[in-house]
Amino acid sequence: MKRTLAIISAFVIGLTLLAGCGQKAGAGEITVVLSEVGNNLDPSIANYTDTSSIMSHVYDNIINVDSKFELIAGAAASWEQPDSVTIELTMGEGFVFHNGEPMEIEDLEYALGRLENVPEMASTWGKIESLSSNGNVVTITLKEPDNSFLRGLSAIPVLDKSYCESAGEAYANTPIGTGPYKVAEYVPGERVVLQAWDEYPFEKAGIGKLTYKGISETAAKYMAVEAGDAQFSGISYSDYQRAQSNSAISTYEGPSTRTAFVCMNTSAAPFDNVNVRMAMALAYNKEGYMALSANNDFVIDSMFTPGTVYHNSSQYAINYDLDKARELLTAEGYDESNPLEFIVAGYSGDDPVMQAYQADLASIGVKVTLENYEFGTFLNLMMNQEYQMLTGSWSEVTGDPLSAAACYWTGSYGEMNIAFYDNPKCDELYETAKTSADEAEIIACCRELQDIAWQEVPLFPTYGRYADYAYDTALTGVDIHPSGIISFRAAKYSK
Amino acid sequence: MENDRDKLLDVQDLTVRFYTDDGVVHAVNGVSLSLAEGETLGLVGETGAGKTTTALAILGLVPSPPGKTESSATIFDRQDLRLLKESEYRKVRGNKISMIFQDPMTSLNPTMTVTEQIAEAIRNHRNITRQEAKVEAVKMLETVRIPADRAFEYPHQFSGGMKQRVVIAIALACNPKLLIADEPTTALDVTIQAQVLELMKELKNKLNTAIVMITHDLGIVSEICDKVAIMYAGEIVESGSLEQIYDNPRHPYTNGLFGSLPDIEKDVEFLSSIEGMMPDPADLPVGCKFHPRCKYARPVCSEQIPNNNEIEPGHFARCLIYEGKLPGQEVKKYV
Amino acid sequence: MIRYIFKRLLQMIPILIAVSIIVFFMVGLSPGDPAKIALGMNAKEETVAAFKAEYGLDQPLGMQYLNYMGGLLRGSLGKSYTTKQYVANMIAVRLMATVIIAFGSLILTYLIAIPLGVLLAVKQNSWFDNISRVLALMMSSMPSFWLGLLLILLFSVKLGLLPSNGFDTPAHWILPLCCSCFGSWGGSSRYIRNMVLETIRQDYIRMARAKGCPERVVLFRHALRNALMPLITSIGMNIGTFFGGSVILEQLFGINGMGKMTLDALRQKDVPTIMAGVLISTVLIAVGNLLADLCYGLVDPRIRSIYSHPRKRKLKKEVAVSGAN
Repeated sequence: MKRTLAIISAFVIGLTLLAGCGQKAGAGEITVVLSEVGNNLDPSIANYTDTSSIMSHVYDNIINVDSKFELIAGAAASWEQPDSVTIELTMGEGFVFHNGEPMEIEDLEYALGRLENVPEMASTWGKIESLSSNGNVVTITLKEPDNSFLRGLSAIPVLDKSYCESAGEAYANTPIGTGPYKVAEYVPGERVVLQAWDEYPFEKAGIGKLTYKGISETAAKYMAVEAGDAQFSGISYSDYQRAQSNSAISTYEGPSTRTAFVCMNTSAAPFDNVNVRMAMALAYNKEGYMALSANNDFVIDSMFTPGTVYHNSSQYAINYDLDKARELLTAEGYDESNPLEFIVAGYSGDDPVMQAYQADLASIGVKVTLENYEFGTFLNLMMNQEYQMLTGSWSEVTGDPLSAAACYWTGSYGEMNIAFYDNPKCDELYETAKTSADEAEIIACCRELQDIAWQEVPLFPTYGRYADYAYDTALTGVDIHPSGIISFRAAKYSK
Repeated sequence: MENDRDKLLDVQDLTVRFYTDDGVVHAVNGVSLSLAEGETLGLVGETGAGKTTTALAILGLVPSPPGKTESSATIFDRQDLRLLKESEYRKVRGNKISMIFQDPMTSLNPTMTVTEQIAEAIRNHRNITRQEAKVEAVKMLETVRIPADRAFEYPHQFSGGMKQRVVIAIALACNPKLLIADEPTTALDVTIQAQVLELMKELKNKLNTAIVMITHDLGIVSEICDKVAIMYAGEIVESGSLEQIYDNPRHPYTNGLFGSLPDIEKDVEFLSSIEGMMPDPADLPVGCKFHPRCKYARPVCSEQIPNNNEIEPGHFARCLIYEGKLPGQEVKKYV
Repeated sequence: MIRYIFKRLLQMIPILIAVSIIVFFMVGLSPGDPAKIALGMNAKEETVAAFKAEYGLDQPLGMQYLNYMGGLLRGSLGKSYTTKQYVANMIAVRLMATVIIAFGSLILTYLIAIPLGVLLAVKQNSWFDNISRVLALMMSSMPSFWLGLLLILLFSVKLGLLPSNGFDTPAHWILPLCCSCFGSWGGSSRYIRNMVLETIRQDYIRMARAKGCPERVVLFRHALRNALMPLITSIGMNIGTFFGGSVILEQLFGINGMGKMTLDALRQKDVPTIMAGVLISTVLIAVGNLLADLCYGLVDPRIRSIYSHPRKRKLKKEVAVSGAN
C-alpha cells in the first residue's frame, strides 16, 4: 500500500515537474504596425528605432535603460569602473542562444570587438583602447575617460561569436540572439515575424507570434487597428482623439524623446550678438504656438532629457515677452530704418508654428523669410555654417546627458553643436561631465550648462512631443519606452 | 408596258428625314422607283441630291435615331421590306440586295485579307465551312479578274481599281438579284473606270443582276443603263427610259445637266451651267424645289408643288409647265 | 524580324549609358552628403569617414562612376548606402509586388474600359453616355491618395470585407488595384468610346453592314479591331511608367514595392538604389516601346508587310493557288 502510494505520488510529482519544465511559451498572435520594416536586422547597422524595437525581442543588449533612463542589467549582470578608463562587465548567468549554445564570455567580448568592422559604430569603436576577458568578466579599457560609453552599451546586442563568424554576412538577417523570440520569417522592407522561443531559459513570452508590418502612412496605421488587421500601432494625435470614442480600442499617450529647437549660427552676423539671440528667444511664444501644431506637443525648457537627474529647469529660462524683445533689438540698433532681416532654414515643409513666429517677429519689425530645403541641401547649409537660423529636431534615445551637453561644446561642431557656439567655459564643463567619476559633479556641470544655455541662447529648445498609440483592448503588458522602443516581452493577449 | 408582277423592286413614295438638334433635314422626299429583273436603272443627280440616302433606305441602313424612313411601299421580290425584322433584313443584305460604295480606298477593312472579306459575305448567308468559303472567295476574285496568287493580300496592297473590283466581288459573291452601285467609278481614273464598267456589264449579262447605278456622270448612264431617273433635292424630277431621257429631256434641270456637258464640236467661250446651288435639305424651297435656279420659273412655281406628270408612256417629269400652269413656256432642249 | 529586334536591343545600350551618366552625375553633384544622410545628422566624424571609406565615397565622382559601371558589368548592382543590403536583393523582394500592381492595373483597366467604351459608343448620347462623361471627369480628378483612404475606410474599417494593408493574398490586391485603375476607367473608357465612334463612321463599317454582317460582328471584328490599334501603341509606351510603381499606393497600403524604394533612395541620395531604379525603368520603357512596335506590326497588316520576309510571301501565294484548285 505504502509502496503503491509512493509510486503514485512520485509519478504525480514527476508529471508536475515535467509540466513545469516543458512549459511552453504563450499562444496567441498579434500584428504590430511600424512606420517601416527595415532592410537590415542588425540594430547597430540599421540605425532605426523601429528595427531596434523589433530586435529587442530577439537580442539582449549588454545593458538596458529603464523608463527613467537609469541603467539596469542586460546581458551584463553588473559593471564596475575601477578607474576612469576601465569598465569591468560581469556576464549574466543562464543566457542561451537560439541555437542552444550558452552565452559565454567570448560572446560578450565579441559583441564589442566586432564593432571594428561596422562603420556605423566607428565612433564607439574609436573610444576603445583594448578589450580583454577573464573568467566571466570583460574588461574594456578606454582611450580616455568618457561617461557616455557605458550608456552606449544599451544599444549593443550580444551575438553568438561562433555563429557570426561562420555565417559571414548572413548573420544580420538570420539572427541568433538570446531573447525570448526567434525570427521566423523576414521579408526585407515588408514584414518580420517573431516566434516565441519555447526553450527560453527565463520567463517565456506571453504571446506566441509577433508579426511586424510597415505602413508609412499615418492615417492608414490607425485604420489597420480599427479594422482589426493589427493589434498595436503608433498613431497620429488626431487619430488618438478619435480613438477615445472607440470602445474596442485602448490608447496610450506618453512623452517621447523628441526634442525640437530653434538654432542660430553664432559664428556670423546677426546672431553673433547674444542680445539679438536673446530677443529671438523672447519673441517665441511657446505656449501660444502649441495649438497650431497638428501633434500633441509639450513645452520643454532644456536640451537635456526631462525626467532624468541631469535635467534642471534653469532660473534663467526665457519666457515670452515681445516688448522686451523689441527693446533689446532697438538697443542693438535695429529699428524701422534698419530692420533685422534673416532667413530661417527648415526641411519639414509647411510649418504653421514657424509661420506664427514669423508673424510675431514681423510685429516687432523683424523681417523673416522661411525657406524649405531638401534634407541634403539643408545638411550642407548647416555643415558649412551658411545658415542664419534653422529649426530642427532630434531624439536622444539613451537619455545621455553628454548629448545635450555637446550642443555647447566646440568639439562637436556640425554634430550636436550646430550653432557653432564657442565658449571655453562650456568646453570645460563638458570635459568635466565627460570624464568625472563623481555623479554629483556631473549633475552640477549639467545644471551650470543649462543656466549658461539660457543666458547665451545659441539655440533654444521649443517642444517635446507626446507619442500616441492605439491597441486592442485584449492586449496588456506592453512596455512603451519614451525612446520609441516597444517591448512585448511581458505582454499578454487574451484572444 | 410594265407588268406589276415583273417588278423586282418597287419603291413608292419613299421619304427619309433626319431629326437633328438644328432642325429637320429632308433628305428624301417622296421618291418612287421601280425596276424589273435584269434591268439597270441610272439614278442621276448632283452631290447632295439624296441618292445615297435613297439607296441606304432601300437597304434599311439609314441610322435610326436621327433618321426616319417611311414609304407607302417598299417591295422587293414580292416581299415588303418594311415589315422585315432586323435579323430578317440581314438575310437580304449582301444576299439578295448588295450595295457598293463610292470610295474603294475606305470600303475595305484594312486588317482583313481580301479573301477573308469576300468569304465573310458568303458565310453570312450560306452555311459552309471556312475552307469552302475561302475557295469560293478565290473563285470570285478570278471572276473580277484578280489573280489567285494575290488572294491573301491585304487591301492596302492593291491599287484603287483592283480594290473596287474586290468590292464588286464581295457584292456579287452571293449572286444578288439587285445590285446598288453608289458612284462606283467616281474615285477612279478614266481608264480604270472603263474597265470596271466593262466588268459590271459583263457580270450583269452573266448573272442577270438588276442594277441601280447611282452616278452624276451622264456618260456612264448611257453606257450601261436601261432606265434613268433624275434626282434633285430628294425628289425624282424626271424619269423614263434611256432613249426617252436622252433624246427628249423635258425637265428644265435635266436639260440644264445636258447643257452643261462640254461638246467637243461646239466652240463656245463659257461652259453653260445651272446657276445657283443645290438647296440645303434642312431648308428646302417652298413649292417646286428647283424653281430658285430654274430659267423658266414664274411666281406660281413658288406656290404650287408640281405633280409627277406623264409626258409620254413611261416618261414622267415634275414641272408645272406640263400642268399648263406656265402658259407659253417651253423647255429648250439641252440648254 | 529577328534582326530588327536585335538591332533595337543593341540600340538600347548607348541609351542606357547616357542615362546612367546623366543620373549619376546629377545626383552626385547635387548638394548633400550621402554618408551624412545615411548615418544621421549627429553622426560623429570618425563614423562618417569610416562609412565613406567602406563605400568608396571618398573618391572623385568620375572614379565612383567607373567603379559603379565596373560593378554593373560584373553583374552587381551594388550595395545600398541606407539599407546596407545588396540592391539586387532589395529589388528581388519588391519586384513581385510592383509587377502585380503594374500588370494588374493594366489588365484591370482595359478589362473594364474596353467593354465600357464600346457600350458608350453604341449608346451614344443616351443618358448613360451623358452621365458617364461627368463620372469620367470626376473619377480622373479624384486624387488617388484620398480615394485610397476612402476605400480603406469603407471596405476595411466599416464593412470589414477586405484587408486594409499588405499584399500577400489576392484579397489584398483588390483595393490597391481598384484605387490605381479608378481614374483610368473613366478616362480610358471615354477614349475608347471616341475611337470606336470614329471607326464606326468609316466606310468599311457601312460595307460590313451592307454585307449582312450581324451587328456584333460589325462591332467587334470590324470596328473594335481597328479602333484598338492606336491603343496598343499607347500601352506599350506607358508600360515603363506603370512599372514606376505608384508610390502613393505603396505608402497607403503598406505595399513593399519599387516605387517607394526608389523614392526613398532619391530622398536619401542612396546612389546605388537610385541608379538601379532608373536603369530598370529605362530598360522597361525601351522594351515596352519595342513590344508596342512589334505588337502594332502583328495587329496591323499594313505595318506587317514592312517586316515580313519575302520568302513568306511566296509561300502564301502557293497556298492560295492550291486552295483555289
